[in-house]
Amino acid sequence: MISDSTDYDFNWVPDHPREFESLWSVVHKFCFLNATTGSSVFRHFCSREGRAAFVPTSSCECKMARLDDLRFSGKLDVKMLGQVIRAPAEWFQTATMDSWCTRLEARSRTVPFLRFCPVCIQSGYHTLLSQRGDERYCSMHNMLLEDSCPRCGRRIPYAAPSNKCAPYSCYCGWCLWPAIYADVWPKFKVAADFEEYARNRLSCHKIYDVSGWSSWTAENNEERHLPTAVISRVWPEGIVRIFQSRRGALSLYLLAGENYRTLYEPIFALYRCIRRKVLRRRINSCRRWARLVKIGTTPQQLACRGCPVTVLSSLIWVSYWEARGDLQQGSRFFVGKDNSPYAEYLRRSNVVWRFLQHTPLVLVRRCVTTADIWMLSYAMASVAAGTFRAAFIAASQAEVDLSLSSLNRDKIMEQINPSFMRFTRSKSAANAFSLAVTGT
Amino acid sequence: MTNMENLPPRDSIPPENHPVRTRRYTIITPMMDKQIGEFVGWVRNGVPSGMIPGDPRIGKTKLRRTAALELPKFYPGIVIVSMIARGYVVPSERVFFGDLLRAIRHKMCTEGTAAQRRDRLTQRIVQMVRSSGQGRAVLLIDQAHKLQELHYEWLIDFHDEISEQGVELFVFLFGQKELTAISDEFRRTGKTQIIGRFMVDRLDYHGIRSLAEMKACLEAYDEHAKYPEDTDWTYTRYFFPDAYARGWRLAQHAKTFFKAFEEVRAYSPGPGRLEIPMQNFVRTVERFLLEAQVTKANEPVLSQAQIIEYVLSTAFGAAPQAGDNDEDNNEEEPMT
Repeated sequence: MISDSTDYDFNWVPDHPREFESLWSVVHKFCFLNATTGSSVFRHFCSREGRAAFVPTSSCECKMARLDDLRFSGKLDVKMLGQVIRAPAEWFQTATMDSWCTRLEARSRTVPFLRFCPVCIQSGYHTLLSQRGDERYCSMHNMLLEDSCPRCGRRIPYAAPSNKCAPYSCYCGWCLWPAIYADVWPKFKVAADFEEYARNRLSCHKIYDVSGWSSWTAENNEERHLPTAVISRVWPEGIVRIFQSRRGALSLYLLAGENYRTLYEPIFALYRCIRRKVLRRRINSCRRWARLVKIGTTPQQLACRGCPVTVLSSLIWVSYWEARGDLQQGSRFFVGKDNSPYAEYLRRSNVVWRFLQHTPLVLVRRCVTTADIWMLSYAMASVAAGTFRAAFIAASQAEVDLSLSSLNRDKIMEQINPSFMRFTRSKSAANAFSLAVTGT
Repeated sequence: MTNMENLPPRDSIPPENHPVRTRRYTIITPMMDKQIGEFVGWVRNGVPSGMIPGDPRIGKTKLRRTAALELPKFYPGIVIVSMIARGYVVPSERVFFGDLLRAIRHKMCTEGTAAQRRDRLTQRIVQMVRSSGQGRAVLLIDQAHKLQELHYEWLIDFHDEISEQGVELFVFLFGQKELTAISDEFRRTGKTQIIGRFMVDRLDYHGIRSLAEMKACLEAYDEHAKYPEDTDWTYTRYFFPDAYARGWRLAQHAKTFFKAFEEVRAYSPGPGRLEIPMQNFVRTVERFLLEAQVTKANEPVLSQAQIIEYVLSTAFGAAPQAGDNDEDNNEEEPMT
């Protein structure tokens, strides 16, 4: 092997990319192997159209031009990149959402931040399938998909590495795949039946995802208080007021009955949002207790040892949620369903909104913790998002002729109850609303 | 001419593209052969580095290129990085690793910080070595006398990093004779870390010094150098086909060539023994091949006077001759 050849080349490892490996994973590996950043990758693999229209020179400009979203090829010439890394021809299709739906559709079906299986990511594997909003488990390992950094709890952008964010790492410096620095990357075999499953899921257009919108609403402080009247009007028999705080500042509503399934996905999106914040604020500052829980200490024992109430409440809340039969494998704070002192209480009650399990703790202290406020506000946002579709369906069934194929945002805005216009004061809110309602 | 020979019609070979005209060819000389044998021995015996100092125009660069082509024949798949060191007023780590990246044909040779470039280079070398299955790489640095002490320090870091990943690096430095002085200076100032890694052994490369060497070099034109390469059209045969068929060879006139050089040298005597730089030699032979007069029987006319004229036209006596510094060096050695 003589370096006198005329072809200039890049560093790459044979046997990569793997089947259904996402563009995010490939770009991060590429950046690591070539000790470079995403802006350089964009510069080298800019598509012809992109080069003519806009040549990004910095990660800042990439962001401005929305080039850093690796769910789509954008102005990155994925084929050229694939040729350089000698990727198989079918990799182009499975690396981005371009081949599966329009960009607008993809934005509503996938999340704009990294979601990953903890086992896959430890093997240096990430697939586009994890980005779908309705995927909760890794199909290969049956693990709950994570959507935030295990250390700092922040979301990791689904973008190429930058000067501030190393490959396969969070901004806080936490490396998702420590073996990336190993001399030889460990082998990883994609499950045999994964291909068919992934193809079916990627090509599946029936997806119900309002998590993106609901999280946006939750982050927007102005919009998170949804008036009771609005929700009641949307689905009067579906709304049950189950809790009101003593301060009266917040109310929690539950959309029960038929709409439970509708809210299923937002609930878990909500759960992940809340868990991230809870872990960041409560657990990270008390790592000692987190470690105790991890080795199997029960909440009762923790209480006896003087665990702070806020930490205990957080741990119980997390453990209960993750003690569900279908969630327990992915839990990092798994205590076990039987260990929860509130399991029996919740089993007997008709409360579907189960994170109220810790309300006794709150009541004992006669105050609402910050975590409660987060939870309540996020629940409110999620319920509101879920009801938007219900509202639309109800309206369309009654008298408004709004077929799914002829929908446009302005028409929806005209037809939906004016009370909802509160949520559409900004352009981004209007877009989010349209996406949440129509999916287009 | 036997039936086994591959001789397409001479007219089908475009003369304007012939290597003798384009001057893009390499003949394997006995000196080169010997040096490559030494390189193979160094790699086999685990000698991590060596210096090949030599006078200008004696063919060190050709030796480097040939070594890059020949070593893989002994060690299939071995990674060989060939680099020409550049002279800088102020050495820069960023630029130096950029040069090394350019040598290994990395597309991002001009991007990133020094640390990024070093990482990129390490990754590349390690990957190349792993895929080669040899576990070792050879770095050939031409014009090595231009390297400064800092460059060697950076090379040490690089050497250590890839050693950590199980890659055995051999570094062969080609340069002017001042490379020897640089080595002595490092030795004097106790820079053993540099000497131990990059200047362990030394081979003096020289031009043509004897009639036997001259004959062997001319034989290369008669027997080994061919164009097109997959045919039996040797250079001599191509230019004098009829004479070649009758048994005429350049090597038969080695004495005439050697005497011509001796004669020219006699007019501009210098210290040391006669050493003919390869550049002067090949230019003389090329001119003979291209311009020699032929008899009616298509036999080339080769006379002493004519060869002397060719030798003079290559400025053999004008430039500082190979071997001029030999005696000075010999005098200095006891001092150091």
